[in-house]
Amino acid sequence: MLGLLLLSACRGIAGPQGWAAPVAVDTTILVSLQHGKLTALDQQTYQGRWQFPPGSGTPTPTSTGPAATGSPTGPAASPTAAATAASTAAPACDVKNVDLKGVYGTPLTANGLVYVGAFDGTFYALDLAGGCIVWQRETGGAIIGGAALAGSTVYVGSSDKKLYAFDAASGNPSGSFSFTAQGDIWSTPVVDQGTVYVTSMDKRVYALDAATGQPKWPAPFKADGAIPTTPAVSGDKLYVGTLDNHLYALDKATGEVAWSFKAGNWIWCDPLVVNGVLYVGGLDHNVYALDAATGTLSWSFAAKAPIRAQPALAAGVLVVADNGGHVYGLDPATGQERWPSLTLTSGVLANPLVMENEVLLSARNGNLLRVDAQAGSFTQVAP
Amino acid sequence: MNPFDLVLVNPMTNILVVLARTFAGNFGIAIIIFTLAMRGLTFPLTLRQIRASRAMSVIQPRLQEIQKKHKDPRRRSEETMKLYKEAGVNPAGCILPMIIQFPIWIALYQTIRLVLGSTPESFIGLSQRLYPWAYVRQAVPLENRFLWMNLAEPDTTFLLAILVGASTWVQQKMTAPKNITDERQQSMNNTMLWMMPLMFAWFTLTVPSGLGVYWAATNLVGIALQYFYMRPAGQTWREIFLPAPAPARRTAPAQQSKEEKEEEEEPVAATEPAASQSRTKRRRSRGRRRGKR
Repeated sequence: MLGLLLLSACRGIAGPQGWAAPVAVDTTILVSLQHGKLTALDQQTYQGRWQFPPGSGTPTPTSTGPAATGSPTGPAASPTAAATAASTAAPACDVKNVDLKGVYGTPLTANGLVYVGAFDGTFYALDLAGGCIVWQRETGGAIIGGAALAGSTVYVGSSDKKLYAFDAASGNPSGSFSFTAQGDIWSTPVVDQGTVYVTSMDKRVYALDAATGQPKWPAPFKADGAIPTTPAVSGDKLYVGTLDNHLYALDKATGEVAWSFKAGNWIWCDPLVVNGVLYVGGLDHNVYALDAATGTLSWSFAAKAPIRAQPALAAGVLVVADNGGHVYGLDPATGQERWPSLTLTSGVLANPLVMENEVLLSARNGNLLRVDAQAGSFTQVAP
Repeated sequence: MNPFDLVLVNPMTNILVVLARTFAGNFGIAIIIFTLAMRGLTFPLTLRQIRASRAMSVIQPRLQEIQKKHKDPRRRSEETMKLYKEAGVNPAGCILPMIIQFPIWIALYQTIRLVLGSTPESFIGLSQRLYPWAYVRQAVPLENRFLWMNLAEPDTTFLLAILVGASTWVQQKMTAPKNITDERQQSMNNTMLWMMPLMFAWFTLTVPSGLGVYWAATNLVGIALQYFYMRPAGQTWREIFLPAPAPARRTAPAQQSKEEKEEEEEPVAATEPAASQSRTKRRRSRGRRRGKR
């Protein structure tokens, strides 16, 4: 009995895995294929260009093209047959003692740099060409969210409750900006017309002056549950999902609630607003389509597992991936399935990347999958 | 979701979250109160187990005699069963309460692991286990700080490891059988007496300190229960910590003095829930012994 108890105890608590969304820039795709690693792939061949931090798991180059494919009628072929990523010798830069632990925030790219925060609490600016560190800044807690850029300033929140503003080129603290929330900041800040909107696990949404960090609303909006999601800005409203099971539409200028919608579980999905319709997934397994102006429910679709990844609209199809590894192609107007759901070998928590008629999904097991939104089929492109 | 999660892990998870929110979000206090409650609930089982172990301990010398005397396994088995019957001992009495408690402890470990998770993924998992009560759902995230510790991280100050190791040692020392006559068994017991505390101390350094707090709390409650309800009559703290006597070479149950037998058997009787009754009995017992001297 004691042995089993100890065995149970030894399992400890699962470490961070990360759910960074893939990002395309120029001819490169940035994605976290391994826990605690950021990989740059060639957008055409999916061969690896560099990996940060470099390590033994660096993908090796192959000359063959993508091989593992799947369709509504069956899963993908063996991932081992997949051609992949390649690469690569470690970048010609000295990266030592870097352990990101996990990458959750979507990498931000601008001016030849990649900005990425890591679970190790460090915010990195990397050279897009080679993955070398240009500058790095420590924060006092894990970085879960991504970064936002406005002018020459890059903003990032941390689990030390602070929202940091750095000069994008040098990494120096930007001007007099200073802001500390009452709880951890797990979301990506959103900058819109000189205002930084940021949510916090203290159940609040803050609107801050982008230059000083001073509050712009009379009082921050306070929900009944923590807010780890990144708000969506559209028109004069700000849309945010919370862990009190609600999605709130706030007046961008005042922070007052325009409307709210109650789901059956936490909403940890970043809302997508397109043509006046808001699409959001819930941990109650449902996808909701709401009128962005009034919050009226247009339709809902019951998935097979909780939904954390943001829905994506490609080729007129709303592609939704759930945590159970199912991918659905829905009619954005009615919520009807356009094609039978696909089954991946692993769940999806990361937001997808839309590439014309295709959607790129980063699964929890490190597979990178390309879903054809029209045909309802997928191809495993890495590793 | 499997039945084990539905019946044990999920209710425990929700209870812990309710406790944490009730006590100002202090998860450390929630763990301690939860541990007390669980020890309280399983107390009758613990008592049965200790009683059965003590009874087995009493007949141990006679069992060893049978082992030596009868080479034929069938005869040996018959004699052993006869002895059990004579002494009114049920060998399953030691194991059964332990088996019943086993899933409870495993579920408790899993619950603590689940609720203490500090990664975003663990929150997604937690969302599927929390009941649809606003009081529970809105309590997340819970405060991980307790005293000097971050309950989601291993304690690096060694204080918790020392507390866990020391309390494990004391509990082991209190429950270790006293009248072991077999040298090999005595040696094994002595090894375990040191190995277990060291192992638990080491585990405390490697797992989130929330588990360490649970171990320390459950050990301290165990020690208190042991001292007030299950210790042999008249035994003092000093006697508990005295080194175990060297095992006797020869064993003769008949040589056991009446007084020894009385002392060994008394814990079974002394496990009555009313502490006052137990104390009165012990006083009487002491008085009897003084009178004999």
